[in-house]
Amino acid sequence: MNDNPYGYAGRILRVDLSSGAVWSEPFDAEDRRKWVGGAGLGAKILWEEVPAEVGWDHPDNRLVMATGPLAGLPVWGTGGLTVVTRGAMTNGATNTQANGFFGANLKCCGYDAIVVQGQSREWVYLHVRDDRAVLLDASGLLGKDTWETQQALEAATGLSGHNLSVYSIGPAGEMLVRFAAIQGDYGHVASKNGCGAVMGAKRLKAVAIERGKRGVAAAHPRALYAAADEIAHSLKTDPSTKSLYQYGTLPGVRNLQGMGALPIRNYTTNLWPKEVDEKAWEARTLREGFDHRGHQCSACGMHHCHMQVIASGPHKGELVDEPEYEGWAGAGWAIGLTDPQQVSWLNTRIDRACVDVNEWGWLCGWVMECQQKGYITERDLGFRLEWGDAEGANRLLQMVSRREGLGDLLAEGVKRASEKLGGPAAECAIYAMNGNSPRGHDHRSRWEELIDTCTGSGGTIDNGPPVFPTEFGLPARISPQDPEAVPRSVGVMRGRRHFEDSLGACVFTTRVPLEILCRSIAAATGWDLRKEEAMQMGRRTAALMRAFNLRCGIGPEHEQPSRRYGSTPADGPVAGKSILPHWDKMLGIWYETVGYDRKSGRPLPETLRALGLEEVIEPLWGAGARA
Amino acid sequence: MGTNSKFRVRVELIAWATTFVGGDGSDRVVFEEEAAPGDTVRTVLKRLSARHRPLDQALWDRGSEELGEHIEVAVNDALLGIHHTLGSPVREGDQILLMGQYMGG
Repeated sequence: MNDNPYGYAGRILRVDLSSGAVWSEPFDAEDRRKWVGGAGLGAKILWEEVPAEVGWDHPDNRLVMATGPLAGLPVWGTGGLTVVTRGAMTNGATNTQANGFFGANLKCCGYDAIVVQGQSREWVYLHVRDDRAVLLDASGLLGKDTWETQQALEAATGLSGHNLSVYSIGPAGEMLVRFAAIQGDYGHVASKNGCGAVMGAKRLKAVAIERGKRGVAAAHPRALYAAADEIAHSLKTDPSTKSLYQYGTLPGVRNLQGMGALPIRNYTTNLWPKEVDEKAWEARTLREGFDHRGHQCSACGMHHCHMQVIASGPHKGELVDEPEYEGWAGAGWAIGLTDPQQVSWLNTRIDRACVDVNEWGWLCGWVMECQQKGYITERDLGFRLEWGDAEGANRLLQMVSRREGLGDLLAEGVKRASEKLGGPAAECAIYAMNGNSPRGHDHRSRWEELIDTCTGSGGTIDNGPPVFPTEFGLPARISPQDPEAVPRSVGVMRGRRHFEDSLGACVFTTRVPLEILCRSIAAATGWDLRKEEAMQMGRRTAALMRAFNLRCGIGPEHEQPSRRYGSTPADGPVAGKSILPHWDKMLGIWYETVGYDRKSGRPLPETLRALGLEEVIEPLWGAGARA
Repeated sequence: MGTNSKFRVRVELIAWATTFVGGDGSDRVVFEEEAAPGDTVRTVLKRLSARHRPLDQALWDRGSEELGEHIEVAVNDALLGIHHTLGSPVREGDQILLMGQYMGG
């Protein structure tokens, strides 16, 4: 096999916080082709280096911050970072992404990934500048939120913008809040499964990477430019991604509301409040309602993720990051907050304290509903928290991120908090029984995401919405409540997202036909890569993450929604339609489609063999099964 | 109304979906489509999309009579597939809503 690392730096930076040792290892050609990078590389490391007895907060847990073959190349959205670890919410695998400049800067320093192990005695941050990677004292950063941390490191290095990528934890990560996230480059968040708590447990406050001086070589530069142009053209002209190109995920609020998928007030209704102006929530109005400017990630031409200034209200003049759709949902609709100015402000507070905005929405919405119904009293909480109270929500956020008062229980996430509280309060909480946090939608109208969340192995959905399903022989559109077509579609599409998450690219700029994407990777790496192999690569990663979770004790017995998450909508476009009568049948179809054993949850030996995972057969199925 | 009488079906495109019929991606564009007994959701949408090429390209799976990936359809406030399919007959007063695709994020 050719060992010329086209598309790669060819090295992995290893850091042991217990000993302070920093070294590098090769990322060899065979592993590159098998695992690609990002999620794939992370899954391999988890499987090989994190045994069952090493829980999320154990020093021997690994925190993998990886990029992939497109990072640092002139393809849109290729500053990507994938975080893989054993996470705090599920105590199983985590697969979560963010963008900005991290991936590009890391590659240009000569590394494809950073793997952190051990636990530091004192708080430190990792500083990478070309070949020099050092652990430095972070005591002066403690208590700072993520933006303050980035500003402090900018001041310390004299660098900013694309010259310095900083990913850090806020107070929530320091305090081991179970849904703490890792935020970077002002508004990009690797948010799932408490990866920020893992970083906190290791006493690693931040990772700062200067833009390295090395180039990243493509095997076929002309072909790469042609593929990059093709990707950009597709994003700009395809009927659906054209809206992403112009407005990012801002159109989501109105679109999802029309489908009954906007999570309003903790799933208590699907009706748009009469007093709220619909026009205020259209993409253009959301953007133009603020003084704003572009805030593009590395090599990206999308008009996504702007920075904006609060235009009115008590926080007028504050600089914030434009929320993604899920920010508008988790910091807004899920908690009954419908003033875009206040939602935008709260969303940035969440990024700065640094928790997952999805889990935040389910937690805060649950507390608000519980207060309304008397399940959590004013005395319990210390104040009155009504639907739509932005200042109160921020007060709760600060309590949670510092584990103060009831915030200590709430910092465990809504599943554990509601189970502890019990009684009728437990009936109102939105979560999957495997610990995964649902994304910021009302999945009762999107059954594909509900089943994806409940069977997912990375802390949330594994797939996301189907992208160009006709490439895989599926119909262009299925009814979102079809109990047979939905699980089949989720099963067939399984792997595409894992593959994308292994590339060092943004999930929105990879939203093009897989054939086009494969052409860009082939040009970058020199591989002869077709979409069938790309899907196999992704399915391999998905199967290995599932195997890891099974080893951690997360099996099919946990694959169901909480009572509220699986409840029947009372009103709106899917009123009266319940997934639960179909649940067992849907799971059966999903298992059959993905080639896993329905009873034990294990990928079948023939599935593992077909995916090139022979080494996993014996650990999962016992001696003799390998033959 | 006699059984052969023509009637109106309201087709509404909201927000981003308005760009497919010449809108600017905001607010809503409403068409009062004439229909006759026996017309289906598909018939009404085919007739409308025949007058708007971008809508035609976005709404239908290329070369087929089935919906493509890009637009979500609801009839009388319920998503297609719940009470109606593309082949369901339309009746006077029916409202068809077209909205942009669900993208995640």
